[in-house]
Amino acid sequence: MTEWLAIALLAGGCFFIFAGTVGMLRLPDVYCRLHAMTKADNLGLLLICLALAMHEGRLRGALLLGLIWLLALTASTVSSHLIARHARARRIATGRFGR
Amino acid sequence: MSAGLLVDAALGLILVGLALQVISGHQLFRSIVFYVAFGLVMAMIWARLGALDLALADAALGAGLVGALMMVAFRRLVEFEPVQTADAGARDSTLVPVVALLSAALVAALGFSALPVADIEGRAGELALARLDELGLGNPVAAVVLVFRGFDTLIEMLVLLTAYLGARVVAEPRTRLAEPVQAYELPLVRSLLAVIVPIVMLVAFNLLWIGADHPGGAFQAGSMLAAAGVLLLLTGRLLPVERSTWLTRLALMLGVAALLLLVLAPMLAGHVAMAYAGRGALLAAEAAMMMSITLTLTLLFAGAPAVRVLR
Repeated sequence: MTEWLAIALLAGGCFFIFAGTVGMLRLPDVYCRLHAMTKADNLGLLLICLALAMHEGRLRGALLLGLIWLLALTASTVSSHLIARHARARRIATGRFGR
Repeated sequence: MSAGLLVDAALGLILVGLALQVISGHQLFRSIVFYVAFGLVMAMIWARLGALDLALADAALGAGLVGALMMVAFRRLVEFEPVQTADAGARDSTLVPVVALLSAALVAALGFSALPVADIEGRAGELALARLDELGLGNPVAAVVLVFRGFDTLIEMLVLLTAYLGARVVAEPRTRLAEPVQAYELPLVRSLLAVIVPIVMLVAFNLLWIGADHPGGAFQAGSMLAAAGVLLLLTGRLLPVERSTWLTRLALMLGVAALLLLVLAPMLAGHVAMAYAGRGALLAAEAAMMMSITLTLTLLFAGAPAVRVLR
């Protein structure tokens, strides 16, 4: 039962990371791409960490995976904030040709 | 055919594909990005092979720090030669096929010359595994790196030092120091540093401390600390300065000096060179190596003879 749940979570995580990657490749400008990357990828990473924690089945592993997720969350929050700030300061335009 | 084999085959194919992208791309920046991805996949492959020491080193050094170094080199290159960098390599030299064929021939010759060597007596790995209990170490990699192949590690540290000195010699006549980065006083950046830097230091010291028994050690710990140094340089907390200090020079030499001591000191006591000096000596040598590695990589990224802390 737990194994199946873990597999479902893993598949869900892969879906969100895939969606984030598609978003980064296909969306028109830097702000939209950041939006796709950070939101979808962090959710995907959370689902994958949950799946791995279930598979591992021990508290220590689960806590470590949670810490990894939190660190990735912190790093992606700050770095995307900085990228967006830099883009705005440089007045990088939005839209299809805004690069 | 197991699922594991499928994963391994996929990883191997991805690695070769990434390597091709790194060397065949016409844009330097693209090649750098692919090189970082290559380092990460390489780390995953080392992990799949059970070589966790190498996986850690490759993820921290190969993907992380070398990527950052190449990025900063690229940025300087764009400042110097905007036109050449933009379409660097756009026209392949006619010598490319010749050089490629000669390199391939050299690799093939080396490979074939190694084939007949069937059994090597006294391989370091076997020695380390056989004598692990006697040495009182838990991690055979640490035993190989510091006991059975201490000379190699000494030479590695010398290579690192030479690379740094070479970079100094080449860089100094051409560049003045780049404009120091404005210290980022954004609340988010401040809290990121307050969280990340202590965690990185904790992880690095832990890697150093457990290195004798578990995957970890000076190279992994040093590259983690250097990553924190890069972060502090990028956010303006560490500033490059134009003159080196004696403390900096001492710290750069410390790793080589400690390894020399580790290798040669047993001779003074009447043993053979590199006789096993005990766990404490190994830890001290690794700590010294960690400091030198951290400083070398941080200074390479800063492109300066020394750094100082922002006050």
